[in-house]
Amino acid sequence: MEQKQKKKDIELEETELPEKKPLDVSNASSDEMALESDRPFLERFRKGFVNFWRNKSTIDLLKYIGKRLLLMVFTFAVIFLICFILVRLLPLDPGQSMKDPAVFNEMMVAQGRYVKIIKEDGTADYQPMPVLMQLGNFFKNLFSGGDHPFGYSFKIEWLSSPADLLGSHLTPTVLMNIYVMIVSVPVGLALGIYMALRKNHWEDHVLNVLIMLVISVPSFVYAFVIQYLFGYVWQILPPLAASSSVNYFSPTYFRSIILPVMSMCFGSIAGYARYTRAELTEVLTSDFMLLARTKGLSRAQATVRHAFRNSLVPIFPMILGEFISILSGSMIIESIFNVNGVGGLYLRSINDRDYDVFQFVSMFYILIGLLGTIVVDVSYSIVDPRIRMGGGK
Amino acid sequence: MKKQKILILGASALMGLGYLAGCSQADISKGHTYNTYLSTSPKTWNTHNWETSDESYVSSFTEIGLYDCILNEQKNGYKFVTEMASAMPVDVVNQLTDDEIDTYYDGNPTAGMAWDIALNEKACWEDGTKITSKDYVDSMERQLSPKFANYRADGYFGSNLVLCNAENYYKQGRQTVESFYKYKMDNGEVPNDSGFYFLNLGKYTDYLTTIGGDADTNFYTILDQLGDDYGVKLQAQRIIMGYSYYLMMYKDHREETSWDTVFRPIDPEDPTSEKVGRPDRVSSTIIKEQNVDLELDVFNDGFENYLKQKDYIKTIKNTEDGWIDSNIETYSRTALEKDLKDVVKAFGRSRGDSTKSWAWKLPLFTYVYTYEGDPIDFDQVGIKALGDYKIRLYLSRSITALNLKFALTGNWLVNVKLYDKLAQKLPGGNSWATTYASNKPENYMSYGPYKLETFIAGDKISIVRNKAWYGWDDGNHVNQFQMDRIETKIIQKHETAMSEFLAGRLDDIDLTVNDFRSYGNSGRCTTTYESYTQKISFNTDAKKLLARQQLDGNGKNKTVLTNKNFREGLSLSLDRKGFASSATSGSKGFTGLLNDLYLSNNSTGATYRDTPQGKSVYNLVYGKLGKLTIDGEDKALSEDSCGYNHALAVEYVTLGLKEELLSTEAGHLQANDDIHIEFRVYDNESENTIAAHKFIEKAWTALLSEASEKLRTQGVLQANEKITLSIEMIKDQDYYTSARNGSFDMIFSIWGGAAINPYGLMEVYCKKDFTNCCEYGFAGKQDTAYIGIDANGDGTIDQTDTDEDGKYDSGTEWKSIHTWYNYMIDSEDCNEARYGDEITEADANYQDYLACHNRKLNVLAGLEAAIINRFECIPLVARGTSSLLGLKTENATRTYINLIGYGGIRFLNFNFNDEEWAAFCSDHNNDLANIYKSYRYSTQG
Repeated sequence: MEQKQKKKDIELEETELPEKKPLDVSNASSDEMALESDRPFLERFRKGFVNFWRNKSTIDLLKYIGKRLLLMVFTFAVIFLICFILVRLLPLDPGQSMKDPAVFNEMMVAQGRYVKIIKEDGTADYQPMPVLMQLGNFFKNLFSGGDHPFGYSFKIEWLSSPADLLGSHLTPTVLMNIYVMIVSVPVGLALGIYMALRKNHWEDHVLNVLIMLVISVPSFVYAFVIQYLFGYVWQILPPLAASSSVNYFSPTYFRSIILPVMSMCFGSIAGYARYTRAELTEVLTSDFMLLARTKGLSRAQATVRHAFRNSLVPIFPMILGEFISILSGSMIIESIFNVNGVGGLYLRSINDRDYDVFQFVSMFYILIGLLGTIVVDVSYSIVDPRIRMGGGK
Repeated sequence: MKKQKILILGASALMGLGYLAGCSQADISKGHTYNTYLSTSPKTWNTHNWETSDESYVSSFTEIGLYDCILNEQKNGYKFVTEMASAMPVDVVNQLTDDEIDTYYDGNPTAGMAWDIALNEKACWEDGTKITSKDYVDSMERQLSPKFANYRADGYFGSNLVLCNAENYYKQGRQTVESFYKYKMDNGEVPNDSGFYFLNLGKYTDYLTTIGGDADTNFYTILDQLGDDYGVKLQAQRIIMGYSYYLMMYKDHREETSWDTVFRPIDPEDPTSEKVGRPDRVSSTIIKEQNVDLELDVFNDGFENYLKQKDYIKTIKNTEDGWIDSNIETYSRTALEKDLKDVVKAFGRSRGDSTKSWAWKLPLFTYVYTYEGDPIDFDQVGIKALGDYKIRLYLSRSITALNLKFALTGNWLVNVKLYDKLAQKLPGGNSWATTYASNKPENYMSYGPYKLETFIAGDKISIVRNKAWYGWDDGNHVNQFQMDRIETKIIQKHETAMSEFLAGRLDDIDLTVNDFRSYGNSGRCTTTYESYTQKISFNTDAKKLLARQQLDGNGKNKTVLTNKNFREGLSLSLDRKGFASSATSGSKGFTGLLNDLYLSNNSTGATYRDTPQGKSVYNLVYGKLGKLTIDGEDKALSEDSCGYNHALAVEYVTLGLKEELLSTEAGHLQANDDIHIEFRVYDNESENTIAAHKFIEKAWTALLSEASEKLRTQGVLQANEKITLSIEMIKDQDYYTSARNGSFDMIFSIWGGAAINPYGLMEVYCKKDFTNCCEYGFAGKQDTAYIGIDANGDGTIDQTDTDEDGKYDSGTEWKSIHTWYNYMIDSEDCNEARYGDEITEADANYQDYLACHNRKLNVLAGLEAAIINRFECIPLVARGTSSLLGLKTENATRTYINLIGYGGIRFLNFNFNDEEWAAFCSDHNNDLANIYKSYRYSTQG
């Protein structure tokens, strides 16, 4: 049903382009020239701006984005609710410090699981708090402007805020993912183009086999191999990421994360290459390519100017999606190379049952994922103006 | 042109990458850095709150006790030195004023109840601020504060060191649930003047889940005991029996994924009737909860539902006859409710809810302590500052100087100013917590030889010399603490840590079983022994084994485990040394209960195993096997064999099997039976456990094969008949509870305790009412098992009744195991403390002391041998963990010494400085694996 709706929303239409008028500057002085030269820009900008907002497809797009944002909020709320309830139903592992039930009960109160009732005789009674009440308290705490709106870390960093914890682990992960993108996108696309141009030649076959191999083998396998060979056998690069105390933008840190970046790149490169090859192969066989060649364009010109641009329509959102996911870490790769990133934090929050941290990081990822989906969908219309979002037909 | 541009661009990029790749890491100095690792970063290192060993890691460098126990000059033992104190403690009980006695003591204090400690005047915080007696007193106030409810608070009232009024100060204003046994009086009763008993058969709480393994939550034991005490023994027994039956028959297997394949007889009375799968099984979640408590809903959904179905739950009619057919009846819900109500009614006050209809569903037997006296000010707690550099400790229990020094090797000192600044109230309740000594160096103040420089959670910890420490120039620490820095990486994966170690970037590494096979013989391998003995414990309760056997169905047998000869054969078949080297990483084959770490004399550091008594235990067990001989020769097993003799094992197993095959008892062993042993372990996926399982199964299946052959030769089995054995490993994280409930065939039982008190440890084996008794088939029967021990060492077991007050049973040297234990612990005959802990040969009463000491050791050795001789538990190894020490550093001694290991960081020497070490590693291509594998001190050291 949803897919059908999507299909309706995305339709092709001829875009009306504003009429271009030549600029008459023949009678203007040099000062006026300067003013005049500004005017057309401002004028053009104003006109463009007005046209943009008057354009039906823009309004449709904005409506579409608004609708998707509302849907996202709803989806996020549902996922959050499920996540919250399930997490709260999990048994707490209060640790050995709970040898004293009084302390245990107070900690359960602190973690929002118990409610403390002071009886008439002044003694305290502790009762489990219903999950919905816990939810109410969570929102109350969230909007009351306290120091810890998202709760506390009780296991990873004693009484730290989950938001602070995530923030402190984000930089290495983001940095690593950016490097991965910088390397994998051009290399992946280049390989894809090469394979498409050499389709069914031996080079294409060899690369296809390699790509399938990389896709089939889990990343941690070649991560170990890369670490062992480059880090320990040949000793070309440090086998572990440098400590977070080193400047993240220093050569030392860069050098230390080359191996994890390599490990993460392989999968991406293979994905891009495979996808580009498939798209480009299809475009290269199109009629307009024949036309382009018959009009006198060289093969390279036709490929770069026409075929590649057209094949980018489905590939660009893929790149954009990956760009958004730079905030997320790879738990396994980070663990192998000792990168103190969000992947490791997430894993530890699960292992240590640090539920507030686990919930916060989970919701953060879910939000990123949902936003990413919207951006990718919207990007289709940016990449190819013929695609109109939210047509409603 | 375009091509040129591309070429230039490409070359520039490559050069850039080359530059980055070629960048060297931090400059290597000529200092002495110790590089090590942790698998997880500690969430705190607050001395008031630390829980795990990782959480005491930082403070082991940055803090130091009033006294310290260090390697002696001869490097063969330990000695005490002053650190934050400037002199040894002085007993000042005779100098106390009347005011002091009134404030701190109920009566007149005796020797060892008041001590003065002079403080080191040079001690200061890392910022140079002097540490005075006020800091100690203020720190203790935070340590014991009811507001903070610190985890380590009980270290000052729950151990040897008991500060006056500390416990009541800590507990005032709160209700605390205490260990039941703490308050039990000598007559077995619990004082009624304060606190309540709770009968908790219903209300499930998270707390119960947490403390489920604790002794005082043991449902059966306490219900049984209180039932007896309050005249409702039958009702209590009926509940226990009914519930045990339920657990055993209907719950035991429910955690198995193959539940649907577990079939039950249609007619529970007739095990041979048609077997069907039970559609109304209960979820494993419910079962887990039931393991720790009878939870309210569970009770309704589980046990109670079964009660509605006529055939399912059985119980007893009277206590005298026990579990015999004529005394068993079907339990009903009505009968259960009546029993429960009777029990609760008899117990009296149960939270004031006893009149309510659901009162019987209040769970947990325990003792709730409520301090009902006047509010206590901290001034009344037994610590006082006398001037700037002296503190006085007022203790409510006498302690010897030696034990006091032991206790004060730890410290409670915190920087109060910072501590309070970082304190915050936890949301919702009244508890406070502080982030002192947590998360970052700014939250902490060191005062030991090192200070914390960097702490990045999940990443690294850097510790550097604390230049403000008094020890660098006081002349007492020459050549000690040679490390300039300690760099600790957080490395989660062992494989990564191992690779780093072999590349020379870590200076120590813990070894796994696999690593141990490669590096176990290395001269760099050091083993740290633990006071734990790993044993196999069998279920020897015939009735419970029979019931379990019936669940297994035809062709399976478990009752053979009741046969002592069979168990003895199993024990003799285990090559403990082989087991230790192939299935552990540093443990050593061992046949006793108390390993080499236990001290017989704390003053001299003499170990129990080195005493003649300790040495005699092996011979008492393996020198008097008696029944069977090999090739007609009846000789003791050599100590070198470590209790292993395959041929003799075959003989014993054959004898045991023969006895069982010819038995007329219900459910006895039949020809072609498979002896199916469920081996309950904590983690069935751990490398160690899998290796142990394989080792034991291999040894025992081969043994059974040979025994079957012998039985066929003897005509006991026909030519085509045999007896087989299979061991099924089952994950059971609560396996001790399962064992106590009798729901097991075999477990790994691991027990150990304070190395300075081997006598006290025997409680777990010898006291009949000890709820966590290690020997489960034997539990509760210790007072009926009589043994003779030559306590006075005159060479004969004296059976004359000279025990005038009858307190310790009749016959001076012929008592029950339970009584022998009480005799060793409580009797004046074995009271060494009356001679003080610094008695020497020059003292007039030294011979008396020696006689007393030897008597106590004789009893200890006799008890140890008696327990082992039952073969209900089979000691396998003395636990130890091995690690490799890098070539960069050298321990002070190569011999493991009790309490101080190999000398510790204090005496660690460096073979290389950082620069030399980097060069050394580089010369060896940063791969030191072969060097470590082949390293031997004799040739290279």
